[in-house]
Amino acid sequence: MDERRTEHLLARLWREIPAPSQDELETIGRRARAEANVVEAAPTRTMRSNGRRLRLRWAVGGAACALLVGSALGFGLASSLTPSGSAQVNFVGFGFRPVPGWNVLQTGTLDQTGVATAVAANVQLGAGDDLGGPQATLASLPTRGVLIFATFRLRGDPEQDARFEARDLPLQIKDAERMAASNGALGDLGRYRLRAAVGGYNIDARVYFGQGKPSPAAVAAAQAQLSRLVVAAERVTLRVQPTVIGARAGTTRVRVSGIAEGARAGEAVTIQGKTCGLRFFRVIGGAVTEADGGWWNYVYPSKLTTLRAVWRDETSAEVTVRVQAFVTIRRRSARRFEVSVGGPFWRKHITIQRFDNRLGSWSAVKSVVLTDDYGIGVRAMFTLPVPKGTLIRAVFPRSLAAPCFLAGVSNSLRT
Amino acid sequence: MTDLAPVAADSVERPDRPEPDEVELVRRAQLGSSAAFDRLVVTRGPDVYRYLLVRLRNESDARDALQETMTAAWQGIRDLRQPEKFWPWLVSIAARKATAIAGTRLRGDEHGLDALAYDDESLLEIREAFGSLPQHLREVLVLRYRLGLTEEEVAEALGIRLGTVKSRSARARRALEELLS
Repeated sequence: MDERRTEHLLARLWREIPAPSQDELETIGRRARAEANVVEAAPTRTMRSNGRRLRLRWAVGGAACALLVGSALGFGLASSLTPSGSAQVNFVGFGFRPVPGWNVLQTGTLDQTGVATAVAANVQLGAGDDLGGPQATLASLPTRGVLIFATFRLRGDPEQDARFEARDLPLQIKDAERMAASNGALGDLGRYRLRAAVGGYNIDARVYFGQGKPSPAAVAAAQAQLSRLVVAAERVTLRVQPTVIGARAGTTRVRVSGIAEGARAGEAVTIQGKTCGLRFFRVIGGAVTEADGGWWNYVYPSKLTTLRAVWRDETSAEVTVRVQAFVTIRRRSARRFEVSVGGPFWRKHITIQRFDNRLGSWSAVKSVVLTDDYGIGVRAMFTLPVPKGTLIRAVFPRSLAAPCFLAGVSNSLRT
Repeated sequence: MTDLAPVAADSVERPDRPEPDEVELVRRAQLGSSAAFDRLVVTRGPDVYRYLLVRLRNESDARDALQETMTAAWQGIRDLRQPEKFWPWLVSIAARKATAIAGTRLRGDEHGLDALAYDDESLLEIREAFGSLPQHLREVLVLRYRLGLTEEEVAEALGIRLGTVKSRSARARRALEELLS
């Protein structure tokens, strides 16, 4: 098919695809400007959009309730060591409380990306279903069936946060929006979406019913299960961006931010870090809360570091920052090159690669032993039997960089 | 199928390219004109939305992605060095947002074009043929032949090599022809 016919066919198809109305587009434009302004306002330490006051509802129950729920959910209690020994044992948990008649699959705590996931269904969960998505269960959801797929994500991204309205627990099914009908595998299901900001977290709950128009009994069952949704969060949250840093380790900053629930303006938040190789946390930075409890600052991890925030006697969940090995390659003379890796890698091997224009890929040409320890790193000189003008680079594999670093790739250099 | 006869060049609806007034609107938006930006959203929003719908195959996700695209566009428009490149720049933002959203949602929450009702049976055939293409081929077709991006711009928007764009484009057209023959 030639290009002109392709254009013609696509143009015909294109005209049939509905687009938002002018009013809707104008609203999108206005909202885009408003949200972007919130993002730009972040450096002024405003952590929440629209000045909305968020409250951590689950905290009302107090530690006893949290422990009770935690035990029921089977969450672990994270014990930790601090230099002062003042930070108390902390409970963190997300998901559904167990009840007979409902099957629940949940992570319970946030993963490395700051997301927790939970699936609850009043039918048997399908074989092979996991927290990536309960497709098998949905595909065979009976008429009476209800399935709730919920994700919990740390707040702190104003662009995303604007989509989540502050709500109280228990969440209400009547607040859910009906999702567009589908002709696909989920075509016959009733599909609803409920987004809520609770405490320092965004909850995105998708509720699926076995029939397009759910019965009152099914709606009541969904509401009952939503009432068992738990956001048992710490009183001080920690968000870290990014969680993987590369290039010049130690000079790439990481933004740490969070919310100290109930804090007044000017209270100190301590950033603690446990660097790879140490068994205890030490103070590596601090921040000051704003009037809404929000705080932020930067830290500069030089190797794998587990971070947490401490405010008063409360400790946040821990987040690990991974650092790529810092590898550089440079010319020393016409035929000699130097490769260096930041970190304690004496006598480790590093692979030199050349770019093969014909294959369009890199291939190994030499392995070099890093023999010269210069204090903060190791280096080695080498020659390379490749034609002039060849593009080369050095690759330090993860197997050698672990456990404190990720694999590193150097700059490219033309011989 | 009766629509597959070659058509005269002048009857083909050419993909939109930046008009001089769009460049002016971009310049004004870069200076902070919200009215100019809103105008850009209204004129370019429909095509961005359609692309997102084709890419994500879910209206709700497409609307979310459109909102995020426009938010990012307003944030970044001041740093856009070539106002005449606004359109490929906007599409590249949309492509990134779509990729991010596609990575976080449930598989199966897709329907997109399937939900559309057509009176014209030939359109139904086109839709089915188009919908049966793999997503990466479909996307290249849309960017290249509907949104009017050059092959270099498509490569940049999708973060792939120019050669990959060319091969995907050829494969997509060949597949489409086979499906419609």
